[in-house]
Amino acid sequence: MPNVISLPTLSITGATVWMFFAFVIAVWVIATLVLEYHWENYAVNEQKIVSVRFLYRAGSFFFLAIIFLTVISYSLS
Amino acid sequence: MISLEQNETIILRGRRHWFILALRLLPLVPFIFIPLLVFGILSIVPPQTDSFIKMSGNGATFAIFILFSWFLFVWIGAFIIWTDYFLDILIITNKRIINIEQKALFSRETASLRLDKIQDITIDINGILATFLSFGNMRIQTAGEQEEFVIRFIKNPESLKNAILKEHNRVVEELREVRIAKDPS
Repeated sequence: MPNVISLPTLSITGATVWMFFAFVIAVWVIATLVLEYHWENYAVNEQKIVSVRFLYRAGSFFFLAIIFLTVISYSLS
Repeated sequence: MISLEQNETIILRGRRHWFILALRLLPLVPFIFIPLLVFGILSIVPPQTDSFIKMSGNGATFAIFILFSWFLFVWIGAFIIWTDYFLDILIITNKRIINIEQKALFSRETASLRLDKIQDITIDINGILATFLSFGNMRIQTAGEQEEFVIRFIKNPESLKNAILKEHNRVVEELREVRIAKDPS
């Protein structure tokens, strides 16, 4: 008996991955702006914020760098 | 940003215990392992998705992209939780006690009471962990109509209580001296 139900095909092209990447960047930018605003305006212990800000940025750039490289790699492959 | 009065200086800051932060961060731990578990299962039992998902590039590269995007969101979540924890603070100045509670990222409550209004401070340390790690709830009863001041899961409540009482006694003594100077009879 032939299969009458056909699922829609999800095509993940290089452009799709770039769109996902743009979404990830947008979320990161919004979250970072919100966090920075709170640290800048409400934190009492400035020294602690300096080290936490460094940790947050270092970790974020590490993840973003890997994400960016995978997007490039996927687009080229 | 808290605004201090003229001649007001911060003497001490009190925070919730780090154990409370650890408890709040704990729900994020499964989120680290969820994608690893999913990819692990998919590598053992590959789904029949040839007709459903069409990838123009390398599937493994796309999986790494998803994995690290997920980790980035968990990373952001951890810092949101940390910020919520860090911005909860009890500030003892030479004039008053300021309690700032960050209820959520966009919800913040600041309460203050003058040191001379304090009538009693009670500390409530419940449980084995609270006893060994030295954290508990502190209740400050005040004179007048102001409601009771409750600070939960504060680190080293005993030393904070002593510091507050010391400052309270100093302020009361100063006020008494001022009254005597004004009316010596």
